[in-house]
Amino acid sequence: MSDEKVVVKLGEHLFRIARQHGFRTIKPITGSAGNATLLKQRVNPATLVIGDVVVVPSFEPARAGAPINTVNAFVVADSGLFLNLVLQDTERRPLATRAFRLVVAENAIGPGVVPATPVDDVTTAKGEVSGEIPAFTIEGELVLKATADPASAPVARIKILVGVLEAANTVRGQQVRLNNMGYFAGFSDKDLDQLRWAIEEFQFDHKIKPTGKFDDPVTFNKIAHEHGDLLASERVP
Amino acid sequence: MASSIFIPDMVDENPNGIFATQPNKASLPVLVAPTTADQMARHNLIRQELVVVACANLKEYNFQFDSSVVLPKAREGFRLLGALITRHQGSPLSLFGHTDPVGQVVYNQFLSERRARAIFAVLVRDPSIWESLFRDKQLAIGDDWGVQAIEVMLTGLGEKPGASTQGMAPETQDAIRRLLSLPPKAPVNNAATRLAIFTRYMDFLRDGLDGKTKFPALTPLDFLGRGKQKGTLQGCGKFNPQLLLKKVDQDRFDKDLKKDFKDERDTKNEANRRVVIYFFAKGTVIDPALWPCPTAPQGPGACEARLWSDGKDRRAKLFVGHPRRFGREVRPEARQLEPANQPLADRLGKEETTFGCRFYHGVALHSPCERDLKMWAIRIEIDGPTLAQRTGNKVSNDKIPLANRRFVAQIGTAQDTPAVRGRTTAKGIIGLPFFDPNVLITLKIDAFDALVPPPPKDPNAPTSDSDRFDDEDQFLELRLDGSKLKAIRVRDANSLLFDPDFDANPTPVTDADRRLGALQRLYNLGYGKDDTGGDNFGNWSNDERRAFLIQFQTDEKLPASGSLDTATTDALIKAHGS
Repeated sequence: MSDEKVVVKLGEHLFRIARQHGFRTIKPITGSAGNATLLKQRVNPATLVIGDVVVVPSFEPARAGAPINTVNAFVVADSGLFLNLVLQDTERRPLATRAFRLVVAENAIGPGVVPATPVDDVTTAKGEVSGEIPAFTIEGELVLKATADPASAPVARIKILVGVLEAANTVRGQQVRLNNMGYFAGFSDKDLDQLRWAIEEFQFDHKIKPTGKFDDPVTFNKIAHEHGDLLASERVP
Repeated sequence: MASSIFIPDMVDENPNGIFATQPNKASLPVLVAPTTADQMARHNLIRQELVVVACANLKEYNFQFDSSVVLPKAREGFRLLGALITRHQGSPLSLFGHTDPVGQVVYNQFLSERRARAIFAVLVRDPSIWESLFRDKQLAIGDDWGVQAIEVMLTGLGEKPGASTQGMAPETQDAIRRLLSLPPKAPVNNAATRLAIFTRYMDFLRDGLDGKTKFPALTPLDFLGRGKQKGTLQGCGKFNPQLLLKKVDQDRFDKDLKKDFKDERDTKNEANRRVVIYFFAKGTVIDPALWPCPTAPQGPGACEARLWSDGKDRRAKLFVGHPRRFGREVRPEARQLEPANQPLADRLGKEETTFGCRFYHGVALHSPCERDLKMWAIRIEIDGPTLAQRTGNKVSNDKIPLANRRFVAQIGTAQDTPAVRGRTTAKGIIGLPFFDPNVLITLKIDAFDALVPPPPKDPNAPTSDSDRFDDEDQFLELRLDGSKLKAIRVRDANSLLFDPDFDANPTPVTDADRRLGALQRLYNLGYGKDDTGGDNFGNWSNDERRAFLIQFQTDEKLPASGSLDTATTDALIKAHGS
């Protein structure tokens, strides 16, 4: 069997593509020589760009020993997908020890869609929300409460779209990260005036000379590092 | 030039200023990247942003020229401001003073901060703040209150002071003694009498001479800086002009500043001299140490550091024969710089390019107090007789506003487009922020019970606004097609919104557009067939058009001509609100 080329669509990331092709992990895909150039561009496999081409090697099912009634142990690496959020107020203080409810679904949440069982928990001292989510999750909703008491009033309801964060070195990728981080950067990558505002404000806050330009690697790496989807040790070109 | 805007419950503009509730905030979904167990250090940072919910622009009209002395005619402005504060009780306030671009940076910074401080003093009813403005003009050398300021106040309080030139005129002294019930010859030119006059005058500004309206009680803790100046009041000086004059005018003023030219320059620049008050969302807390605006004694350095990378062009480049105004686009043919630079001219010809300070730009961006009004204002009414028929209730009015109903507006159709949630006002108004003229808005309103007998109340129904409402899938749904509404009349020079520089030579309205526009308005007003909508008005037969027009004319008590005459056009515009 030969390798397959997959063109990335809205909402697709490497984990999802791996699952769609029967893989439990992304290693067969990231290990494929055909993806080397792409992964250098994107670095975080969860932030692809619509139209990216991913080479998916042919799938060979793990062989189970023939006799019935014997237990077959499969080593399952990276089995789950996780959603890690960090919540801060306008002054960059963590929204710590707040009760929250997280609901995720494999479809847009709406009439007729039964979401997965809600997760009720409390944010950590750093304002973190972390949980395992189904591999095909596309939408979620986070309800944040005023205090650690789950019965306290909701202060924010945040619609979450999973797997649609574009790579940091694209215009849309910068726009979405800045929007997430409270720098209003506009609604579409046609709204460049507002993105320019957000980039300059971000640059100012991070002691980079404001230029408002969309193609500055220092700036877009800094944006992704602060957003947290890119590790401090990583860089996108 | 008349340029007042009035939208019930939302925007009220008059000579004193603009007093507005801002459209509800559009919330964007957050787009995140998932991760795997071996890469748990990856995350997505979600940070809240500053949200402005209302605003007031106190115009030059309220102040003495080149001074922070508040004039008696500011009373009407404070009445409207008090009502707005009451309506948004608990929203922390912040004041931004602005001057026109004439004069030195530091001078203007002091003057604008002092104007903001003068207003702040009235809001918290603290006459000692005025005493400090009276005693020390700081670097705003023209802002010398003096006896003359006292005379302005005495006049406002109904007294007849003199006009002092040196010392204090005897008539003024008498007026003070009369006002404060002091014995003849009692000394009046001192701090104690000033404090008493300031207090009386502040109470007049707050509550009126008859004291009938009560201005809400505020303390410095009700402001964004919670008792600190940082975050509470700032002087932006000349960094954020709302209007930039034509270059031909500016050059004339720069060359020769004889009295007539000076008066003309100062009149033309009037819109720039203002104090804008922003109301932030309830519960907003800022750290004054991180607040970017400096105090005037700290100097303009921090302002200059916060300017746009092209902040100088934004404030200084003038079009040869056309003014630039925040919130208004300049027609391409009028974008002319000297020396010519078309890319820059096109950038500066866009709608929001006159503010130099990037931070302020972000605060003011969607504020009806700083820009030509851009919002979708939608009024929802129910036809009274229909309601009576469906619910069996007795209904007297013809049209009943759908008041205080929860709504959700999805702006655009894609998955990642913003949603706006809130409640209709008492007059059934919904204000939605304006981003894109050609957008399709899906509006859902919790209104079924207004049309059919109400279902039993759900005890667990959510009460907080701006959330996802648990039952919003069951709201009544309307689809609004942005910018499809055809004009039925050109914005003429008599229109309240007419601005000769920006609205001259409008595209004429064709007869076909006029007919379509009339049908669209009739349909929005509840006339016509249920199965029409959007662009399908052409499906109406001529007889149907005539019949619905006659029905409208009859309801409006107009001659039932069945044609789109002037009176009917007027009535349609009035009923539709546009």
